[in-house]
Amino acid sequence: MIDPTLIDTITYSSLLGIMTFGLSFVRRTTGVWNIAHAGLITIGAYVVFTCISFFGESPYIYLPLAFVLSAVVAVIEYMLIIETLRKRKASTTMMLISTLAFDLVMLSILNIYADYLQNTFSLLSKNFLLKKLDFTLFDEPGIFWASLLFLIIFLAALYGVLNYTKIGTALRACVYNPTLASISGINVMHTNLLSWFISGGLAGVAGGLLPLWIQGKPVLGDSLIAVMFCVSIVGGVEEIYGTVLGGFLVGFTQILGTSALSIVLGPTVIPYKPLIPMVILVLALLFAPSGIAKVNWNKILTVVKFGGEPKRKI
Amino acid sequence: MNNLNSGYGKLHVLFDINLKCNRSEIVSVIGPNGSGKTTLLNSIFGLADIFSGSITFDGGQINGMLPHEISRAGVSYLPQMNSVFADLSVKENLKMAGYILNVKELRDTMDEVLSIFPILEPFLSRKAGTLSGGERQMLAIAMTLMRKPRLIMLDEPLAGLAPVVCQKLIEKIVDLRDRLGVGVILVEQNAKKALEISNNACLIVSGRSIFLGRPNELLRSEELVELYLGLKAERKGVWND
Repeated sequence: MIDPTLIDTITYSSLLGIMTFGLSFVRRTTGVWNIAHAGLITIGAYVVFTCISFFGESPYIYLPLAFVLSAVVAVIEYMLIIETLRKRKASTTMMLISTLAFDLVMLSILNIYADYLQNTFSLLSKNFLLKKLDFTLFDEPGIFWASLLFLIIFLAALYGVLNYTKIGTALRACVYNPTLASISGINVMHTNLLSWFISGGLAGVAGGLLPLWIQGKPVLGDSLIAVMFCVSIVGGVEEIYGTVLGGFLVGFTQILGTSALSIVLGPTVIPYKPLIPMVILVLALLFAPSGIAKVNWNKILTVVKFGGEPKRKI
Repeated sequence: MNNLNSGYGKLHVLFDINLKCNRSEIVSVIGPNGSGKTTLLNSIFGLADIFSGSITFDGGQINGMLPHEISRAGVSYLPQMNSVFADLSVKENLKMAGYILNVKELRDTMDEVLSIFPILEPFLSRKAGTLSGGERQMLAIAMTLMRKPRLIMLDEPLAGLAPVVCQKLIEKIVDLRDRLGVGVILVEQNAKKALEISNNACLIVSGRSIFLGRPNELLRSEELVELYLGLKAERKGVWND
């Protein structure tokens, strides 16, 4: 049996990776920090919760539906807000603030929906946990295996799509240089829509998985958005796969770090657990502002090895 | 291009510009720094705001169209900066340039373009960002050809290149006009090089076109040449009718 703290850490890190990937992806493709990503995660959680409540079965079979619904909402958000503001030449700051507004609207709708489920069907929709419905494999909870497996599948699928398909290469082209992409004949709006669709879908799946591990509530996504921003920046927004590294760094430090500190300093440090990602963020901004994925580890290793500047060939 | 007034937002850059480029013709757009040469190309390609006037291509109006629509209509643009996808391989760059083509067309066109630019053949799997300046510019021009355009717009293609590479590129540009019959609008700081190969020239100063006609007519005007092109010393020797 694996240490439960390690199980928790890997689960949390994998979920962070899946959740944040979409956030970084749309930031990279459209230059917008989408705060409403939080709401898309919560939508995924409520899709799975609603289906479980009415139709039963395993939560995992409703994940494709969570993917599609969150993805559709993300596309609506893009068309309604981002594309409209872009046409009006709004700044990225204005777009960011409007995604916050969209998130608040979604939060209100989700609260109304949770109230409706509670009042009409007597469901505990404002605080629900689906752990009991999870399976176990080798004595470990299904969410541990599922989150890790989903992360690996998403990474492999995205790697395949981005590197071996025409639309994937176009997506990369738009990420690196949208103006050149458009003058090459690529419809940048279509590729942006695709990136928002993928991003929203991943948020939905992550949201669908979360109640198997922590309590689902209307502010589920919003309670994690600060950590997601931290993961995204620490991992490196410029590197598509950096968020996975960021997710594991933040996840491991947050859970194992708090655990270690509580042994040394006592349980009083546990409430300060959310502070750890912020400390990592500050350190990352100071020492690796482009994210850990962009750090030149070879150079650092050479410096450590030789105790100074890398040796030059004469 | 008819009485074009354009700029960016509230900034008015170009004033009443008229320009025409036929097939198998090179039109040079020259002028001092900041005169609006790049804005002229950006206006044609929908990357600047058009306040008034019209731009027509093959009989149809293209102002108001999106860049990818203009590209699909048969106009290619080589921007001055970031003209290749540095993080994509040379082959991927060419594929993206021919995005609108189907698989067979793409393969055929790529073979055709590589026969014009054989220098790119050994680098197909290399990232474009690792190419030298000259190779990168060759790739950028090759990319403009991938869509089989009828009009190519080149924004300072010779900037920062070694003289030998410049000469090779100029030969390629002339070859495009003569062999493929495309129209070329060439924006170039190196006025001498540009005028040497052009059929027509347009001199833009402070957003206004102050000359439009044959290169030799432009060079006959001592005032224009001395004030804006800095070609005084060379003019008499090189630019005989």
